[in-house]
Amino acid sequence: MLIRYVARRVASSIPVAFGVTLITFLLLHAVAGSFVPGLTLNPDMTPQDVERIRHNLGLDQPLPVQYFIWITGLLHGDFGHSLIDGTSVTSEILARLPNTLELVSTSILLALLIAVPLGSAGALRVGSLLDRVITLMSVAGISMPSFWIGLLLILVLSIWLHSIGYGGLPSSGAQSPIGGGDPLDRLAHLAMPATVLTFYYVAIWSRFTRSSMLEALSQEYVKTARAKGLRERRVVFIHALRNAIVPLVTLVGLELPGLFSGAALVEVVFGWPGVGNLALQKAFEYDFTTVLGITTFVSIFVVMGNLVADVLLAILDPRVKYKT
Amino acid sequence: MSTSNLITQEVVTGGQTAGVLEGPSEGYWKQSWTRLRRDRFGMTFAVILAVLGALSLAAPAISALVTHYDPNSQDLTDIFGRASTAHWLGTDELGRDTLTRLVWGGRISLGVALLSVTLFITIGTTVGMFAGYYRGIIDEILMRAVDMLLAIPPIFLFILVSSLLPIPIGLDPGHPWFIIRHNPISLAVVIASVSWGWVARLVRNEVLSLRDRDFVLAAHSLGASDWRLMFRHLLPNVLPVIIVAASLGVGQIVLVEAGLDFIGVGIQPPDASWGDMLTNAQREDFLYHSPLLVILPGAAILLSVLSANMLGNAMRDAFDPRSANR
Repeated sequence: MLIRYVARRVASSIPVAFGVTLITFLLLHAVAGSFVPGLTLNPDMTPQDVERIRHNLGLDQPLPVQYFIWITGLLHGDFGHSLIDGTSVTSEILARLPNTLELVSTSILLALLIAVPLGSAGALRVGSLLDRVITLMSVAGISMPSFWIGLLLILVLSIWLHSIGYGGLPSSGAQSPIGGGDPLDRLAHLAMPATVLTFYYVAIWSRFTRSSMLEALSQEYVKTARAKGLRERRVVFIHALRNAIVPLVTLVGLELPGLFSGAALVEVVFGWPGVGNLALQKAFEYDFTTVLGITTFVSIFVVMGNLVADVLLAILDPRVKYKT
Repeated sequence: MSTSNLITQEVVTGGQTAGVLEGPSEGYWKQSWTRLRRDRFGMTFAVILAVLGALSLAAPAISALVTHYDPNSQDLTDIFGRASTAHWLGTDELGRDTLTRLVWGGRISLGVALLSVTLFITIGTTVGMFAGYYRGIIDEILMRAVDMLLAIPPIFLFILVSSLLPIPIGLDPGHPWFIIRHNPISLAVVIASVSWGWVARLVRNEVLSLRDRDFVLAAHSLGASDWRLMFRHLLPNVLPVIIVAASLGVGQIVLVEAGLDFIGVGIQPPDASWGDMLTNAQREDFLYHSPLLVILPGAAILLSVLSANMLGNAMRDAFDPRSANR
């Protein structure tokens, strides 16, 4: 049953992944056409030179042919080459990806560890001071630009702390640990960016846990558990909470595009050498093929993340498999 | 009471007997408005939002009559000024008056949000309406397209779209001094073109749940055209959902716009939205000189987004007749 569900879910993800490649590719090539940045700026370039370069880049082919060549490469793990210097986009992404994943996964984990207890506490004491504070914080949390929180953190933890003689946390300059960086130093660099992302998702997920928990607590099986004379702690944590947090898995999956977007902004604030930072840097160099490769890669990654979340949900909640 | 009101009433209460009717002839919209007005918390945020909007609209007047500064006039003898009688909220790195720039910034931030929301609500509603009304293959195609659009992390899509923008206008972006330039209108269009997906999904689900109701059947059997059914009969019933989405959308777009400014694909200097002011404040060592430059624009964004979100929630409650019992 599970295997059939997974197979069906995989089958429905493939068209989405393909569609994503089509959207990003068409968006780029329909607009950019055979444009190559900087080509027309060189006065020594003859029209023949320009034609030759376009031909070498394959830009004189019809659009469907170009797409076919590109997608064939994609299926072999080749996300194209830079328009500027011809470097492989795949290798550029792979060099940066561990950094982004480190940031995103740390934040997801921390956010869940904080949001679930907070949300449950709110649900158990509806209308209490604690509940109100949590609600207010979560509404405020989703109303602030993440990079603003980042800047405020820098203001307090880097600048102010430093000025009163406590060193403070580094606000940029993270080195890849592969390059032989000190793990402790790495952690110090990770602290602020991860805090910013975590804060935002605690805001969303604690609200969700709260309402999900409230719903679970009003269910018949909770009444039954209480009627059986189980201790309240067992009723709340074993019976209600377990059911309340299962839908969180889907929510985390659905938030993945947002997480990568948020991470991109945070990467820019703290100079974190991740994929988002790379895409932006390449966009300013008008290295379209690299931007296209990165966008497509991240999107496919997100589609796969959604898939994993759905399968995980099916394992945690057997009812899912029987639906649709 | 007109029949359309009766129909609306029936639909929104989900077919239950509307036991909460206040007067015999009060329509659904009037009731909702009454409920919203009674919600003091929600109304407070509505007022804050209105004040922010009014201040932004009045920016030229404020500039001329209150602060006596132009948003872009520099005074290099008074940079990173603290709050004083001459500059109520201090000055930035070029000696420009922060208060003046804040009200002008609101014009761009809120203006872009308003325009963008109008656009994406229109696109999203149309797509969602067609998908939900025709169902079948049309629904399948449109909604799969929405799935794909929503799978691409928005910032990356913005970067891609923005980096392409100069080409159709015939500019060679390879030129060294060329940077991605947006004016408020092109920025609003770019944001809207990427953000309509969730509205389409929302409207489609709503239409899908309404389209088998008796009033649709009745109108259909009276010979109403598809067009008339969609926009005269279904649309008014979906409107509450759309209005709430628009309010939440305003908040969302203010944040998105600020984010785009921050990564450098938003409005270009010297014009400034709140996002630009924030971006500017983190350059070089400005943070050391004046924390106000970081705190104020961020606070303006927080206040407007918070108000839009709270107003959206309040309206959602007000539109739900069942909430009147609470």
